[in-house]
Amino acid sequence: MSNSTSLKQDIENVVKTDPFVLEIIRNYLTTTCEEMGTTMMRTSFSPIFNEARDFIVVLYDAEVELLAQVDYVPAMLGSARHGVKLALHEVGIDNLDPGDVIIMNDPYRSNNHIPEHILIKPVFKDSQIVGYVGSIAHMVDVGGTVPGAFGIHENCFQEGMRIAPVKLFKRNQQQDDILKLILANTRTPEFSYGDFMAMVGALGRGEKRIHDLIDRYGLETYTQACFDMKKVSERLMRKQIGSWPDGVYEVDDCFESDGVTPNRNWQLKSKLVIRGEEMIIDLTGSDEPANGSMAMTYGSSSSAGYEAVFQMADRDIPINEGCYRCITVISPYGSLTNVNYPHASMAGNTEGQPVLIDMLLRGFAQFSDDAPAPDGNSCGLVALGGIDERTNLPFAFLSLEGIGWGGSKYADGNSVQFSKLGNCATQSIEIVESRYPVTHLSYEIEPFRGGAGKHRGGYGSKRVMQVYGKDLVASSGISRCTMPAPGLNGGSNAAVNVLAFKSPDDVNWRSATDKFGTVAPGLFSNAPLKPDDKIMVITANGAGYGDPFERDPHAVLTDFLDELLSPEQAEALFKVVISKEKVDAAATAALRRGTKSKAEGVLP
Amino acid sequence: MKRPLEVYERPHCAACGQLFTWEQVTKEREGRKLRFCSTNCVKIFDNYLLPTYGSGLLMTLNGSVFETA
Repeated sequence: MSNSTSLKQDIENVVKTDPFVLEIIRNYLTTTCEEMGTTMMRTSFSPIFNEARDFIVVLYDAEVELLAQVDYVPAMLGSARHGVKLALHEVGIDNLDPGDVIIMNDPYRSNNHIPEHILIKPVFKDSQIVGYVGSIAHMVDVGGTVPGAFGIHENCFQEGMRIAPVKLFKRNQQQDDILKLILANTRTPEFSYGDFMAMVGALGRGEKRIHDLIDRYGLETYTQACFDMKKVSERLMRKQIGSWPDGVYEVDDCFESDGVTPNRNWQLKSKLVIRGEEMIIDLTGSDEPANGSMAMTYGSSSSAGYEAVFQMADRDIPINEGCYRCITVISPYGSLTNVNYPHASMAGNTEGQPVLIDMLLRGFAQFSDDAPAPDGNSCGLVALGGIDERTNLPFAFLSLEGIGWGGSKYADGNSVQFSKLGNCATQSIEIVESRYPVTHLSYEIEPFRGGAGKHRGGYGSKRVMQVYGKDLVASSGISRCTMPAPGLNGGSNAAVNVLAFKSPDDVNWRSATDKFGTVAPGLFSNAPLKPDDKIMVITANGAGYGDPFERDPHAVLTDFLDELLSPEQAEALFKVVISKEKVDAAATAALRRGTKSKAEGVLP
Repeated sequence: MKRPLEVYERPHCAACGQLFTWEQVTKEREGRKLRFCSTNCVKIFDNYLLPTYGSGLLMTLNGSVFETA
């Protein structure tokens, strides 16, 4: 009997729902999530919702176990699994009524970080809870010391307003006292109100769809289908993990800075432990929480663990609670990967999670060719704030960036794409400029700066912008500015991220450490700007995969013709000779024959 | 029963490290009463954490994983 036949029979033995009905219900739940996501995009106020899609929506069964989700931001998987359950149990399942909506954003309660707000609504049928609908989304401003939230903080109180699990709606009645309290603590209450209502609207859409589904198939069939789809996913995921070789795969790395402590990096340790059909992701031994906000919550570090596994697993396995049952993330409380109160954690999610995901993928690379090289490991977040002179009101704008993804066994890395922790889009310039006092002077792909390989890393971008208004400040949560992500299987390291400023009286672009005296070039808060100051962000190329001297010379030529690679770089980094816009095959062969060592990633 | 209002008054799991608000599993190991968020985490603690790191592991755990009288 073949393995696939054995697995098919195994699954048929555990599934009681008619397989056609099961697939219809499973796909209905997934499209419900997509519909909820569309609702949020079409009704929200902030570009970070309707342009960048920095949110997810999730459906749960009556046991608060994940059934389906829309995969906009994998970074929120941990919050969706742990934070939601925690919030509901804290409020008390018995204290829930139809039409209630719980809100929570507390990073110590397994949320990723303070800007991400979790809204959950129970779904009742005949006085019985049959499931929950949830939405987790990133609010641009949450009060605190930094407009747009992303900068460096030394405790949670500087980061913004923490919301313990409370009811934002009771029996479909908006709780004005709670909402007023929240909106009074943001610089952009109009945006936040619109975004909260978009989330609530999406929950209502999901609730209706679950009612429709139960009306069509009956509660008994629906409940059995929920049980069965989790069993199927669990079986498939166990089979997947069982196909990987048992062992302990260790990778160490670090956060290059916390933005507060001079001349110190923060050590991360990871072990992928595979035992039969179960996997442990062990982060024991990592440093204590950083003094600045470059530290992770349990929601964030567990997200990184789940995401690394799901990236390596068969794409056809439906992601639900069943998948998680054979994966345990160990992230000791009071460490760099699970901060204790009152440590800050803002940048640990956006900048730390990409580093941790790629560490774990490098663990997979110890036994699998399918793991890609690391990406640029940054979300490129620059937060701008001040007073918008058009309205005389405070504004807060958060710019996010695409980076280069790492090369893989199969292809070059994607260019200018949001880091693996999120499927966010970069916000369109036209929308940004219509909402905020920001002007773009240029936005383009940055020519080659690193990540050579048989399959090179993708390209990063260069953005130059100006901001207008009064009391202007710039903050940043960008890491990997001094220590690039490593290449894989002989590929070169990624490039580093660059953030620079230029005032009219500056001759050259200047880093924040030079111009403002910050500890780190990309991790700082509230650097004062004048309206004519320019801000430049250059994001990292991804790391390279494989020996650069084995790269197809015509692929090197293509990059040259696209004006992304100079002939000198082609020769030095890839041993490809380009002459008169063509590959000089004889010279290239001769050059490569004489090569004895692999590239070291040193740029000419 | 008094319900804790803040996170630092709540238990964390001795194995996975997460804060939890549902009914805990308490087990005595190495003379200390430890809190776990699930029976699976008890299994992880016994079959992986203790054999890997030894009894010294308990010295490294945050105080919120221990059951107090």
